Amino acid sequence: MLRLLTICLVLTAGFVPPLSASWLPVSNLKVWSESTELGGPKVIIEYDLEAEGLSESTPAWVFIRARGVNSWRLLDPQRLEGDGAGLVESSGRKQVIWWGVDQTDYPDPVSVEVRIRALPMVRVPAGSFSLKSLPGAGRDQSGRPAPSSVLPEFYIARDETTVAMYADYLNERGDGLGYHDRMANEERCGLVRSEDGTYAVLPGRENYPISYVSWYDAIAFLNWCGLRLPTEAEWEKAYRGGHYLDGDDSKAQPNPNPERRYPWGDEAPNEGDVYRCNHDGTEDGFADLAPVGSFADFSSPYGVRDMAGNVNEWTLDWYTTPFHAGLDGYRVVRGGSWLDVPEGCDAVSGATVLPMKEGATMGFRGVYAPQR
Amino acid sequence: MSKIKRRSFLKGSVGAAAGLAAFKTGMGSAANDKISVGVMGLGGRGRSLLASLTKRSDIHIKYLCDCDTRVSGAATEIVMEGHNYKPEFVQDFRKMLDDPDLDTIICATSDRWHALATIMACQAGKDVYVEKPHSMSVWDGQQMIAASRKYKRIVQVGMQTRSAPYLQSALEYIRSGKLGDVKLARVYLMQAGGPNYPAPEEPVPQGLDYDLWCGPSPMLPYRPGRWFQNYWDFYNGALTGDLIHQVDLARLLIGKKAPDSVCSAGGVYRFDDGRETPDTQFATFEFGDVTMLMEGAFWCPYNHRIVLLPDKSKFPDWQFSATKIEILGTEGIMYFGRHGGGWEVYEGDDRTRTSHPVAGELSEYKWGSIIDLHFEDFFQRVRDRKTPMADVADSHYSMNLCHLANLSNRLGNQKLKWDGEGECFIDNDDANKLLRAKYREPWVVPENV
Repeated sequence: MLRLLTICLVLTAGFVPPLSASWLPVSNLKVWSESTELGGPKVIIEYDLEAEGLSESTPAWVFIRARGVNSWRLLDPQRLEGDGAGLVESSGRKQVIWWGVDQTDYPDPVSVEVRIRALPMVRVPAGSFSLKSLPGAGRDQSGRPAPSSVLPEFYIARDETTVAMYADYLNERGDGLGYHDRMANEERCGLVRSEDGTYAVLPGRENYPISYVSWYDAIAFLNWCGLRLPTEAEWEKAYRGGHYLDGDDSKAQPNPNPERRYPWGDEAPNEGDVYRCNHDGTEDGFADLAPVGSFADFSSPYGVRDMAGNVNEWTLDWYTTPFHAGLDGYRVVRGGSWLDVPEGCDAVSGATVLPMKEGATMGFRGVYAPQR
Repeated sequence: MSKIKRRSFLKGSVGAAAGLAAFKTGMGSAANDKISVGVMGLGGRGRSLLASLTKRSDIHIKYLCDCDTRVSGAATEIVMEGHNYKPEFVQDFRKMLDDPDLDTIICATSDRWHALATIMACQAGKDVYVEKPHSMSVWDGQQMIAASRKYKRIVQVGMQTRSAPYLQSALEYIRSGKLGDVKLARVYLMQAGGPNYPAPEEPVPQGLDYDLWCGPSPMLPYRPGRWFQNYWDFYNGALTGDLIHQVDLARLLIGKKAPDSVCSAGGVYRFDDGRETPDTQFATFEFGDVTMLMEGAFWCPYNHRIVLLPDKSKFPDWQFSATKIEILGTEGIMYFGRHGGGWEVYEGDDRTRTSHPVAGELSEYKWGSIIDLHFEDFFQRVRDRKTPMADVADSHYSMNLCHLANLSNRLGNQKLKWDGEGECFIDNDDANKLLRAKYREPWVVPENV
């Protein structure tokens, strides 16, 4: 006997981000249930993903969060079928089939809301690259130096996490954590908390990188998305490119400059009065932070943007010294920021920062690694 | 600030004999009565000090200085957030010294620069806060004292626990005789650690003035990383470089200045990273009938440093404290913790075979707030010209203990006899040759400051 779905599923209004937000546009969300012969009821989620430039190399990371009676929950892409969750390589109408909802997720008759969010990613194929720096940007010497490294395939966010994305996350959390008062600074962040506990982005700040985030804040946000921080090695490979840009499996596209100092090559960020990233000073066009993608012409070989300058990017790695090897020790940030000199934004420089430290120069981006 | 007739400052050669010093004629260049500050050395320690400095409203951070321009951003951000202005960044510290309106220098560079930068700053009429360990040799320390006195400069060494109130109560307790006759002090730095494999040679990075980075130390081919902490020409040794806190506090607690002898044991027993300085170091100092034992090692993961003690109602777990000090008297034993560890005294009854705590003081101030206290002392002394809590002259006696231990180790763990008045070894020319560090031109500590 077919088991009827006893969950009443409510079509949400569809989470349509504000026009200027940094999530990719998602619209026409429809959610309904159908019964199956032997597998219990299934929930079908369909939506339109309207994003240009999606491909196998530059997919979207689509994550789905659902809420029944209580709190929002991330749906594990591994439990979803269809072409609309996880890495999505093209625009158009997408479908996700969510099996066994009443078995493990929402057993009682409840109204379930669904929210779809998507952010642009870049594929970094598996293979070797020149790990020019040592761990900890040359400061962690607890292991033998490794002049080259081989990494499996992974995907990295094309852009630094934005103020709009982070505001969306805080509003869903609703518990007050993850926000720091200095985020209200309209020149260096622009994220304000209202008296009713909701969060709003000051006009014009939506596409700036989020700042004043600690390492823990970054971890929490990325967990919310189903992503994680990059390791230093991943960060550096995304910055500089592998020995073969198409990966070691095919080796058809050698990297012309695998030991480049900067994402675009070896020219200094301000060489020849051309400004290639957001560093210290105003000559680059920005006194403080710059909207993500402002220097898109000077991206990494894979098309990852703003790896040099703008905000320092937290990595997953700790920095080990004879005195600081504990859980409360330093983490490593890479890439330099809008307050750093041009040479401080190169492939090998990095700072070591305590994980609770949040500041106007601290930001992050996420990574998805299929093999982990 | 007392008014002193202004004189011109001779630029050029480092350590120029009898250089004329630029004395301050007023309080500082910043508005009102704020003391102007230049911070030299913007690594982890420099930024920790900046975090403390930016809590103060009576100073103006005029300069940030580092020979590596790539570290400027993180340090600048601290000042911008704390004080809401952007200090001027300079790569060459001499630009700060040339500023007649700059009052003070905070020196948080690596060890090799501490002595010369302090001396040059005194010559330039600046008061100095210099991080520990403040000298690379006994002679360096003597010259730093000479410069401080000649130019009437306040020179505070960064031994922050000296400014913690609980040190005073511990001193009182011992002086009162309640501990009995003190016979033994034991100081520890027994903790976890790891190897430090030198990186391959690389071209000098853009943004790094490598000549300034090396300073008085040899200019070897550039390698990134902290390998230099393990070589005598660059560092006091990773162990004694941090043991100086405990050695200093213990010396104060036992009330001694100079030992009669030193004898070391230990060497490189654990790590195969090519280091010179020991990863295992034990030393015995004899002060007449009082002995100090120094124990240092980087292979003790069961011991833990006193960094932050979140529960202010508790003492550290003394048994597993990596950085404790023990003062043993004929009546009791005092455990003392640096950087907010407080102190506790135990007595025992050998008939009933029991021991119990009888006195102690928890510290209200921990780690960062102790840095604040130490800066408070420094800046008050800059204003009233009294002797600071960690004046360079008194700190010198503690620093000498570390130098003596290192020299004994370098000479094959010889027992060395020490003349505390003349500050030289008795009947040991080899040891006496090492009382003065080697310097690379032009960064030479001058004979005449």
